Amino acid sequence: MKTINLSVQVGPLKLKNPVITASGTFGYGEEYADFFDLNRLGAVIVKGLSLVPRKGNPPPRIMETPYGMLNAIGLENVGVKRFIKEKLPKLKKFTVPIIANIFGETIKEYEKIAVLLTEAGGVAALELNISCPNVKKGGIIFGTDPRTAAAVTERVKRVTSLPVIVKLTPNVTDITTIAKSVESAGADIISLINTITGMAVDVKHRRPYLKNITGGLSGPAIKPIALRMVWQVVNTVSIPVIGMGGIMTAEDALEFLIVGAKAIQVGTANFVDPEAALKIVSGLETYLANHNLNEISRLIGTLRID
Amino acid sequence: MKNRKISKIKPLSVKGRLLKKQMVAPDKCLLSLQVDLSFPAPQPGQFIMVKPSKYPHLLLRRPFCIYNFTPSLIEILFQIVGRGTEALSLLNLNEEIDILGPLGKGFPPPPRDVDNILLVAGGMGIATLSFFAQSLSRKKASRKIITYVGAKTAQDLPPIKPLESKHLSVKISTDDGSLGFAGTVVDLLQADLPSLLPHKTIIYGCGPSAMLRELVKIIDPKTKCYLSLEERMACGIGACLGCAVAIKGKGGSLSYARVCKDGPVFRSTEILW
Repeated sequence: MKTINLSVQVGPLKLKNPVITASGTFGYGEEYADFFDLNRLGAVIVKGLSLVPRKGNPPPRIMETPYGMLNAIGLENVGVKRFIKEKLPKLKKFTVPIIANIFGETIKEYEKIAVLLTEAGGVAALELNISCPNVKKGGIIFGTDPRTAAAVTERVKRVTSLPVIVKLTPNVTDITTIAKSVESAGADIISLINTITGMAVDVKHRRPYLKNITGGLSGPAIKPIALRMVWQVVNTVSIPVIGMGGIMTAEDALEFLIVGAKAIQVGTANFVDPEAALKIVSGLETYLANHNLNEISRLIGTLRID
Repeated sequence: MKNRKISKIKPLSVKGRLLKKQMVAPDKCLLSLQVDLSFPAPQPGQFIMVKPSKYPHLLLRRPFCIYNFTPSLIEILFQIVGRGTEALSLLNLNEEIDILGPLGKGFPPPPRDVDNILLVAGGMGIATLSFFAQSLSRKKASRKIITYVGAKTAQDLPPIKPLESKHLSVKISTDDGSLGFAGTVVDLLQADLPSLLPHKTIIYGCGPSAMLRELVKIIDPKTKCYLSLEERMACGIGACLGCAVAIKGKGGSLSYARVCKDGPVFRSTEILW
């Protein structure tokens, strides 16, 4: 039997396999360590970190919708300092690369968090969540304005030696404009898509199901949109792209790899099945074996268009 | 959030199959799920996350308190309220079910020297308290265990058969007076409290949040009271932060806890209503 090589080179990151757990769906890793060895993953991205702890939104925070779920968690997190003190030491015991997802209300906050995490060590890369409002700029979402998206990317790049992944929001008119903009600002990698803003109403009580009224839609419902956007971005930029959005199975993951994503993130699937990411790793292995391929990297970007 | 012991039982993700299904009322369903013998015995108050393995229209598992457990058999009792519970109620015998559990922090056991253990159930809140009552009744101790069960009408009354043993007693209330005490279960309890409280008493409650709120109002904060809460959940293991409940944080300020991991059982004085 041929040995199967799942490893991928994603810009400066060398990963054992292309399966990464998405921010906000994998806690700080420890929640899933009961179910499998985290070292079997390509990388783990932890819950988004802010400069100071955040309490999050009042409940109800989630609602299942057809083939998906809406969430308005409100970026609840322990804050970067407690993460470094309490969570990171536990994560350092694993050999799997740990990627810290970070967000701020101002560019200055992004910079401060980036500096703290760079100095702390044990973090393989930073992923910038730019789907949050910039309070200094009238609350405009960083990721919906090409200039603001570029500015935050450039400023974080300047203060860190770590690879910077910029995670794009799909809630824009043209995703390629934003992608080009963060690429020229120095992003090492682009990841997409974050959730799509949505809403659901309880007609019995005529109330929104979420206390926050709107929330981010994730799950299989968004996969075709995510795939289309990943394909568009892959064809626009020359930096590597990490694809995500509704990936539940190895077959879903393969779709993203075939259109050109160098790696993929598993999000909502982790909620449905704590072993989902691991099953995707084995599913990719099986696919390669069945198709007489031995390197997954040779499958990336091989979409056939007649 | 002091002294919060998180269960040391490691949860498993397994496949079970539907062994038996009973509609105990037109909208209430009792499922018996067969699992492997290795499935860990849950503590009363813990829960499982469940989803039909092959149902195509459901994404997330649904949380259910454990109604009964014997090695290789888990029972859940629920009211059909939405798509998830409906899908489960429509399962055929022998169909596969994804089960994750046991999860969460169950009911803290009562102190040894307690005289009265009061279990207060609003509607389907009986599911978790029934399991707890049976486990309490097996311990040798001279103490009264009274379960208060409230329902809208006699027809809505959940099954109370498991509570009719010699070590347990059951008191029933219905909002319309069609069976037992006429009024809410909290009214019923309130009428009893003066004769019970002079003795060392501990209270455990489960039910709709409006009922729990009323329950807390009539109990002196010094009386130990634990409540099992419900909230929509995605993961059940503390990762998604979807099942937030407002509790008193440092200095009494608002903080959020996870019903799935920090609960579902909380000390009544911790909760911010």
